[in-house]
Amino acid sequence: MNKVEFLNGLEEIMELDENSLAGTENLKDLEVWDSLAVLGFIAMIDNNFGLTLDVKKIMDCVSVEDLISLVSKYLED
Amino acid sequence: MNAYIKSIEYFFPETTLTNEMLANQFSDWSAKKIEAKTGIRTRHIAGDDVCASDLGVRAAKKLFDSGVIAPDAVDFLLFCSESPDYLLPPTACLMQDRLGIPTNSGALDFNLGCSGFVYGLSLAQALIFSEQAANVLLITAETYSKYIHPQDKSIRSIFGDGAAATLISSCKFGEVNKIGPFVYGTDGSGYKNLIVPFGGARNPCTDESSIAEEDQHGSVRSQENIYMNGPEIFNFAIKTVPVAVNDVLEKAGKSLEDIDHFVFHQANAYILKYLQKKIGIPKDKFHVNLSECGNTVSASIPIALKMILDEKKISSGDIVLVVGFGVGYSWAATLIEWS
Repeated sequence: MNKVEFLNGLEEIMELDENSLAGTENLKDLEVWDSLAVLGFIAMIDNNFGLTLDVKKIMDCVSVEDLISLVSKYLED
Repeated sequence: MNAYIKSIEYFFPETTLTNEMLANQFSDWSAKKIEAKTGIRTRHIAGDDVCASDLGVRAAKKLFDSGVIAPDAVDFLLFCSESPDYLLPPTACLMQDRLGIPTNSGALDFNLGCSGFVYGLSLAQALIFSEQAANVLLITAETYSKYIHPQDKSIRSIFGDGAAATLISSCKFGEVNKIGPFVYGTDGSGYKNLIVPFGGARNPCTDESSIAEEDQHGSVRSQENIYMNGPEIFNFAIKTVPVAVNDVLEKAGKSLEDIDHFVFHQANAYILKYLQKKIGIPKDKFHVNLSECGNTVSASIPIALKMILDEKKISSGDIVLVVGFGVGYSWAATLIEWS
């Protein structure tokens, strides 16, 4: 999974248009970033990287960029 | 003696809470969205004067009315619930009397949630195997609705009240064991993620504990209501359940392909579908039966089993893998050979 695929995955979880996320968005401004979206995010990370993320770290994320940084070392170029 | 599941019945309270009712109350939700996210269309809610034990008694009476067993042939009653009638005495004692089960029977409560049915099966199987009982009535019943704040939309959309009565009986000597092997798991470090914080001995109710507050997702609850950290529970489930499935198969010397049906605790459709894909279970063998009742906690597995039996999907000799997982954290898995 590369960064574009990661963003596309997030768009699918939050039911946003494809390629609509730039990465700089504030999660608070995205109404669809709710607890079910968090489940979708956990599932995406587990599915693609076999990783279990600390929920607190996810909840501490302020922007989409912060979510990317949680897994940046696993993302392909 | 070996043990097998002889019969299952379930009972729901009459009052329902539909997605339309939830969507009317919470304007940012639509009935369609709730169903798409949870796989649930409606849940049953016990009336103010109805306890989990009342639902359990009704389920047990259905079992007796079916003619599969008379109350006086039951020699052990196991009652699994986190909603007892009283702090003391044990609810199982009151139920023994209400059901007309003989006074020379054993009866006990055990407090478990979503893993409770599998633990109940293990206790029943052990009582029969050690020849301490021949007919164990396992009643799993829950009324989480009483612990949920009316404004807590996310939790109200998931849980429903209900009860199941499962009869576990001894089978003729020499027949193969119909229930088992078992694998168990416990991780109390997760206790805070699904909890009613106040109202027990650790934190007695106070004026402050009854004050409701809104959380970051717009759900409202007090310290005397159920709190569930959904993402943490999801993390726990996707980490634990695949391992439990693998372990029970290994212990039984079987592979995924040997199993005819998979009936997991009916948490919500989202978790179940993810687990099905992650473990690699064929869709037609994996059962999701919660659309008309929601997550009924310890009653969910026997209710789903009974629904599948009524649909004639299980044949004699089929092997069913069941996994319970949740509050505690507590989990357990076993195999049931249907006869």
